[in-house]
Amino acid sequence: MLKRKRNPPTVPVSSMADIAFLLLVFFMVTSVLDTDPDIPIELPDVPGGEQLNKKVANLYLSADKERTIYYNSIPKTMNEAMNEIKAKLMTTPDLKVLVHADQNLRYEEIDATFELLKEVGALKVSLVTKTTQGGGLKGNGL
Amino acid sequence: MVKLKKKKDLEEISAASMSDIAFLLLVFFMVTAVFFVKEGLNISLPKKNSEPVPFLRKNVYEILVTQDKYKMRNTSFGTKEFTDLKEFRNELNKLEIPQLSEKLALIVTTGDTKYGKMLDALSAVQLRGFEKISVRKMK
Repeated sequence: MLKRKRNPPTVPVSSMADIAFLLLVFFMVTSVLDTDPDIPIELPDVPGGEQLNKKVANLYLSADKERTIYYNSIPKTMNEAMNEIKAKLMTTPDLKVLVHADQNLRYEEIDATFELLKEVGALKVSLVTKTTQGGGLKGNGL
Repeated sequence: MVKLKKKKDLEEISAASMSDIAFLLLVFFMVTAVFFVKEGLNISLPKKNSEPVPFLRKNVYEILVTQDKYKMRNTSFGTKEFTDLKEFRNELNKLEIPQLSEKLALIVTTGDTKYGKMLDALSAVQLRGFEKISVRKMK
């Protein structure tokens, strides 16, 4: 009786590429892009700040050292910014206002802004401090 | 003579190494990606026209923040003055404060206090463990 020669069993790996690309697309879709307002602001460098959740929609109210007001990175007058915040809070009351203010501004001016935020009902505020960097290859010049 | 045409097998490109390349790219981007973590001090503003909350004087730790100094005042130790932030933080951390959750840290600013300076004081009292913090301008 002749012994039939069998081929060694193989694991099909052609679908592995699909899995890898699927993972790649998943991370690309779920990652949050940096929505930092690109304004030259010297943020205060203080410890003890809590990490802010970028996945939650926030309103960005910024002020540079020249006292120019930006609402979501667009220069506006304070009244315009407050009107926009008020309109946003009508539809989504849970929104948080992230205040990016230059550390060299006088606190009096920031306090006046808090009064205006109280008027429009924006009571959840976060005072943004210096941004820290995470991940990446550190110490290799990368 | 009859010529027999030999049936050729279709040539295939091996796709087995594609997964290696894809994973390699995936790992490369995961390792080299740099992300920025935004941090901030969360505050809750009082409602408009809300009534002021009364506090006993002994429960209030008043911190006056001017452009060049921090002045801490309480009935238990009197007044202490610091020009250096580090000194102020150290002293605040050394203070024995019984029933801290009932105490109020009252940060008082003057007309020339910079925003950064006020945040230094706010961060110091938050890190010390004060739960009730109030900020007001000097009248």
